[in-house]
Amino acid sequence: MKHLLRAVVLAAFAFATYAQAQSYGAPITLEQARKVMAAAETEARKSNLNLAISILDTGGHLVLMQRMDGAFFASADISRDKAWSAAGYRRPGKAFQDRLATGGAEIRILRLRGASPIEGGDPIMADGKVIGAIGVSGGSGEQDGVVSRAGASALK
Amino acid sequence: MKTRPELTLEDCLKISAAAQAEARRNNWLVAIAILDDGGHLLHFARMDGATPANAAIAVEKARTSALSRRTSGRWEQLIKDGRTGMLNMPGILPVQGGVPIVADGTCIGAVGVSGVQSREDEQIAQAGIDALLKR
Repeated sequence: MKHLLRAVVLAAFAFATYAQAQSYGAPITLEQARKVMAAAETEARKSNLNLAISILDTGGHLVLMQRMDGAFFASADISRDKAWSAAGYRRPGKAFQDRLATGGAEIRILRLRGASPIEGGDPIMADGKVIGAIGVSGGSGEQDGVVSRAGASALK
Repeated sequence: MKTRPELTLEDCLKISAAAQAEARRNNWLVAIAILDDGGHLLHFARMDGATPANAAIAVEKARTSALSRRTSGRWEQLIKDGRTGMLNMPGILPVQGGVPIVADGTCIGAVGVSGVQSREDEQIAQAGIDALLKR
């Protein structure tokens, strides 16, 4: 019974998270973006990573971006692409990455317009709605993902 | 061997903060882009109230200046003077508001601003650069 209850609660939570992720809220403000950037940068410095970090609004347009010393110039655009994908599809790049990894018909994700199937891009949520997205590039996918999620969770 | 200065993140933060301060002083809402000398983003900030169009325009003005090593206003003037062929130059947005960052005689990047009148955009960009280079 206890297990069943836990399963129901978990399922309800999972559904709630999914349902919430279905709509956009008011676009992220510069002040909110600064909080997200600060949290991401702190996480990057912890691991001595030189990264590019982009924060976009609900329309996929730049709000705040910075490239740390030593980061690849390519990372500037890649971080933006990752954030665009997370904003436009309202899901992390990791979700696409995992689906792509299952192979078969899922390789169609490679042809999905603007989708970035690489870890390091996440929607930014506030009050259960997507208000923008963050994208990170310059480390390994896993490292970018850690930094990106640290940024995205700064407003929670 | 030739060496040249390079913009650090700290430099960019200084430029952007000064540019934003200049905008705020005048109650202007703008987007500010800072690019390296290859035309790649180093820093970007859009103040609340500046439009998505401003975001893209600021980047393009900065790219124009970063790659051509001159103000985007110079390109605008060329066209005003009748050189209409310049409208077709690759990667050039001939509208005032983009200013190259020149240190030790070398262009190391550029600042592009969009949101208000073009000459005011340039004023903001220049204020940002001055904060870094003028002592």
